[in-house]
Amino acid sequence: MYTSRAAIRVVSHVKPTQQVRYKRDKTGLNPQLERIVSQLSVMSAGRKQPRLLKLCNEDYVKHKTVMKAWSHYRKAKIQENEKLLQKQYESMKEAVSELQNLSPELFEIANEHQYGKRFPLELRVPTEYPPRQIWFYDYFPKQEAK
Amino acid sequence: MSSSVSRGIWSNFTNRSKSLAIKSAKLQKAVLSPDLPNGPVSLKALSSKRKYYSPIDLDKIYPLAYEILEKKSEKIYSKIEDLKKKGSENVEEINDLLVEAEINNPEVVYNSLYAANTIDLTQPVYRHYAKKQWESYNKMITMQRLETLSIIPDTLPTLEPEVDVHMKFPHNNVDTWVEPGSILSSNVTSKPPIFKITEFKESKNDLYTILIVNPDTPDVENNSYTTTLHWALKDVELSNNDSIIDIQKLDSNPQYSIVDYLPPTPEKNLGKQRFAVWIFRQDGKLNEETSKVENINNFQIREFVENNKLQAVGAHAWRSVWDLNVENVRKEYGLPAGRIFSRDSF
Repeated sequence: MYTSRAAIRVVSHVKPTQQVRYKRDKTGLNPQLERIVSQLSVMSAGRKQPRLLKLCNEDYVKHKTVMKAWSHYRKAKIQENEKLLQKQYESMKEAVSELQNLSPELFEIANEHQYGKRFPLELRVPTEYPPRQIWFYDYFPKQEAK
Repeated sequence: MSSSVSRGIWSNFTNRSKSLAIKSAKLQKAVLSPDLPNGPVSLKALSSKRKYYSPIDLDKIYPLAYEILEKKSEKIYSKIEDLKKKGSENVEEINDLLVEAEINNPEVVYNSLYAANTIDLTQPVYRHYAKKQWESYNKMITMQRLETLSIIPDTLPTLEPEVDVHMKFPHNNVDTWVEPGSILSSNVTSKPPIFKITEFKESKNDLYTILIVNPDTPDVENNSYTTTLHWALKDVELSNNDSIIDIQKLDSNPQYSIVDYLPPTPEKNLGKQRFAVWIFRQDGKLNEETSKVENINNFQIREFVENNKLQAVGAHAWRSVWDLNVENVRKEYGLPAGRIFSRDSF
């Protein structure tokens, strides 16, 4: 009896043709199912949520203060950046308008539509920092198959 | 490490109100120190005090954060000084700046979060926090009850609430405010209610009118209902720090009363009666002629409001229904015996 039961357990997706009633087993799930359950419980929504911080009132006020100061600091930084970009744009605009005054011909050439010229695919998106690996020192070109 | 955070404008009380500080010295020390020198004072149980740990490195970052915010506040205070030197009369602008200067002060935040019942409403920043609190719950619940019970538009067309109205009855010593729209027994409502009217603007000796009306008095002859005036007060003087209308105040100011309190005595088999409390702000003192009420049993509230140029700023409501105690209330006030409505009488 034991062997037949074990066989059913392992291939649980194969339903037995005949319904057989066994004595209730208190040992729990089989190891395979147990593993699935434990994996699912690791992924469950409750575990993904960060734990609520249990702070006393004083520390909660301090925490709020720190968050507020941090948001002020970030805001100031973003505003500074935006101001810089605005300045850059203004000076570009000024340069172009000056070119228009000095030499309308050159201005025309500078603003001429270049038909057929597309944005080069090889061009990398400009980033604020250089890549982690600057140069592939161990690079050697692929050898073509003869 | 220093035992305290920076001692700038937020620790200087020469020009600032003392109510901007935390009252309890121990709590104040805890909030103004980088760490908790006496442990978590706000936790009551010894066991929770023992097992409590502050977040890691909060004591290092908190003084820096405090300094950043305090410096911002210092700038705003100097701006206010400049405005005052110029002789600016714009009180609202200065009040807005005062709110901005104190809104992030940890002591003010602590008081408005955990000592909301004892905050000093003469300070603009506390009024700001109180208003936010009111808008998040009490304002909405009041409007919902007024609309679902059809007090709007059965008594007055609409309301744009500006004040928080709290009401309770002195039938016992339990300090709980009545939720708008709740059904109260005749024993509870046998004595006039106590009001707390919280203004969120700067208010010094503003005058208020208070009316309690019942729009459900049966008018059998016309097969309709009339409005009964149950209580009317006028020229009630209130300020930010003096916002309670109780028996003591009414006894010392008998001129407030237009119509004395008539307790609700609902008739049997008439269902629930709505009692609407309306709070009006006055421009000045009310005229003796226009504020007189001759017939309280057929009170025209809209006419009264129009004649006296009243601005509705707040409301409250409760409901009453016949119970076994109504007879006692009638006897106490010397009212005539009640009618019993039944199908036979029609």
